[in-house]
Amino acid sequence: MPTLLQNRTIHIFKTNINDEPDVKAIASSLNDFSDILKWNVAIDDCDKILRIESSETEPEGFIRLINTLGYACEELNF
Amino acid sequence: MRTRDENKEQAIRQQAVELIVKNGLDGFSMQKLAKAAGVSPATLYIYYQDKEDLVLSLGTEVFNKMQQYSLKNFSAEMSFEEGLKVQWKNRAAFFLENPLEVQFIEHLRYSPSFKTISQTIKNSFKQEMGKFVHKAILKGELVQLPFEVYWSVAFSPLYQLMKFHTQGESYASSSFELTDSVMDQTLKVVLKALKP
Repeated sequence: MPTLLQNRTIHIFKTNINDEPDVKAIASSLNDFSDILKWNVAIDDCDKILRIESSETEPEGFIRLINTLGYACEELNF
Repeated sequence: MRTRDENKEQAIRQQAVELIVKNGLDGFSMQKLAKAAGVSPATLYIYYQDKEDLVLSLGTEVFNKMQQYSLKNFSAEMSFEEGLKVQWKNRAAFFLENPLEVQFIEHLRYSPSFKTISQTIKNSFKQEMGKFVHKAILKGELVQLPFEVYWSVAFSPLYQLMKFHTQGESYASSSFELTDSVMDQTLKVVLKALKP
């Protein structure tokens, strides 16, 4: 379930974006994605959390994007 | 949609400080915090980008609290002797009343986060203390020294006494308590050393 915070929707995903090279590999695609205002991957977390702040309220587009880039991505439930 | 619950958030922050004191920064993780606080990791990541972001936020809060406390009843206009006495009393009181926060800061002090925190914390404290010291030098109440030398003489004795107090003992005796009279006695020596 996405959460609204200061007029942005925060999406939290569990991924297998494991290390810095993986983060570098997805960076330009995420930076260029117009709906994404801010993103980061907590690679020190065992769930390799991808956090996205967006004007978009639905998560599916982000999941598809990450899958296309070759990584697993599922919404983390509360 | 979820709404932000301030009480719950504060409870989680307190829990994070406790966990870091107990397990160190390296032994701390968002997953462990989520488990301890009984919330899902996703909830934590709503408010904090990652562990680093949370630690920075906690550190900044504790530092600001400590510095605010240290400026209680203090003014840069005070004589050096009076002002330093207020600083010692405030710092000792904060230390004794907030042992957890003090230990938390010790964990941060040698971490990479510390540099970022010291850059973001409010400058009002530094300004006020700087003004106090410069005035004291101009008034001829304080000898002019490089900052590190001044600070080591002016405050390190107090911090060492606090360490002995926490240990409950010193090199020489099996029990030690930081009392007002011990503090006054030490402060007298410090003031004497810093007189021009």
